[in-house]
Amino acid sequence: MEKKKKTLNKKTRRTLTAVLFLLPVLSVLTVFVFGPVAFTFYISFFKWDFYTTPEFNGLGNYINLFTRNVAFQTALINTVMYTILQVAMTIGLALLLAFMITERSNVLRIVYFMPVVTSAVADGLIWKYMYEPHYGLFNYALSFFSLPTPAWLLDSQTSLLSIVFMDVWKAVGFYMIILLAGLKGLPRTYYEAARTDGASTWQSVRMVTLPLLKPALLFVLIMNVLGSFQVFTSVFMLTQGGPGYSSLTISFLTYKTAFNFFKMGDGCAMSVVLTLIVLAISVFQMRMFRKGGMMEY
Amino acid sequence: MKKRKTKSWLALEAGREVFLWVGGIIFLLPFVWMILGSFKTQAEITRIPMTLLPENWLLSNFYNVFALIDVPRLFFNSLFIAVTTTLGTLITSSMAGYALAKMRFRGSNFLFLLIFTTMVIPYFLTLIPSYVIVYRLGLINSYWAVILPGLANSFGVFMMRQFILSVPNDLLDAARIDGYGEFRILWKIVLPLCTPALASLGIFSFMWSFQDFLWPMLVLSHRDVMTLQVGINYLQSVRAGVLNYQYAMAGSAIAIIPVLVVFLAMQDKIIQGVTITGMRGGA
Repeated sequence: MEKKKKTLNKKTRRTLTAVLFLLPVLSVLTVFVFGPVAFTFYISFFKWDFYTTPEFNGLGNYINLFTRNVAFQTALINTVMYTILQVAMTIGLALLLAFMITERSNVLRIVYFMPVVTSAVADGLIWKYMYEPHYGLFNYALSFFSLPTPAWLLDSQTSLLSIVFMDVWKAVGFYMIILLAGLKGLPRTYYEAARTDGASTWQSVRMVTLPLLKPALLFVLIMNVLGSFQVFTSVFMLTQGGPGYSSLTISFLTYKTAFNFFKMGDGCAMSVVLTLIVLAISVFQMRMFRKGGMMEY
Repeated sequence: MKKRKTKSWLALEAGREVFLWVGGIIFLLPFVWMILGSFKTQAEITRIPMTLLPENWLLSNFYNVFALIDVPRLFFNSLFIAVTTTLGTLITSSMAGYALAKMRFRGSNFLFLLIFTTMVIPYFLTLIPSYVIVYRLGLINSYWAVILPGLANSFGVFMMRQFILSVPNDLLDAARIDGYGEFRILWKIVLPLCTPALASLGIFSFMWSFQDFLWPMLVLSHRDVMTLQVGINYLQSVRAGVLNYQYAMAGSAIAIIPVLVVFLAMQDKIIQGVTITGMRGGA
């Protein structure tokens, strides 16, 4: 009896210690993540201007988004377009650089990584200056070669693409480093075998490297897609979604709706839709991830 | 035949080098353009045809930026918030990581999964209610509005757990027999073995916090508490809608150059950290 009580006490004490160790993280997560997630879902069914009492609206906010809110529908298409373009360019270029950069080129690795560490706000100001149609660097260079000079951020045809270019510049170095680590971890013997069989460089890249790199590629793809769907700072700095709705993304529209127009219910409904899309894509990619084998991250 | 192969190989090598260096120069251009712009006068910046190098290397733009925004104050605010958040994150993450890695108790798997899932939740799903909470707590324009949410870093917890798992249990049991409490074990035995993980997490937490923009912009609008990123953004709206690029470039240089200096000094650690953690800094 005595012994049993003692072990029970020990068990309770162990649980208590564990809870104590987890308490700081759990309490902050409760206040700033779990609570807010539930609250966002809840408010998405209400009309609320932040100051007065919320008014129940059923599915009204959601129906509104998909039937009447042109800004939201445009933002949805833009966000998907942005993600496809940004991810294709970033991963493509990162992969190309990872193949080309060798152990020796430490300087180049640093140069390509520099935009990753610098402030997105300051970078946004610099790129805005470079995109200036009359005295910016890009059109200066283009006119030097007698090429057409677009208005970049001020033209609804090119505004979204201009944001993509800056974000590719900011992200490539990061994914290049991860892919480099993935390449470094590949076993040598496969290449030796390919060479003995008389494979060309391109053949060994296509038949040996890319299949072996698949897990690393998928990891990088998931991270980049998740990030791209939430693009905010570059849109905020470069175009504020304009001209018109041409570079409006869901995250920027959510911010505007909630904090400039004080339509909290609509803002929450937008966040929920964004989350559902992101989760669906993650699950889809996770499936592919599993097929490709796990990575050591 | 053999000679031709070496020749084409050489051409390929040369092409590769050229591509890499041209690309590198293009990647550096925005920073060079920023530095050149920060020394030009407004008249020179808007002149067509443009000049590449400034006519006079004047520091007046920098003086003006210091007059428009309180740069030392902004730096202090950013550093204070980033350092406090980072230290807090390191402490809370190692405590939680230790509990999840080495303590067996009911519900530990559930808690681990719960914390893990918060890593994939989009930031915007929590943004609006977080603002409401901070507002109701009366923390708008207080450092705590930014520091408090940063104290729970799910990625940090996950990373510390993975590292602490590799600490041998015998070591911990030996310490328990010697009468060490769990806090002392964590502090004296586990953490010294986890310095690489702590360093990587520390660097990334600091970088992320220092460069964060959206949340500090929402909750720190008063000039006494706002961060450097928020302050630099104000240079956009100087003088009724007209963007003064010479001030924007000087301000950007003030924000970017210290960061680049620190990065260059610690580049091997930072790049290695990316490889270990796969974690993204800012953006």
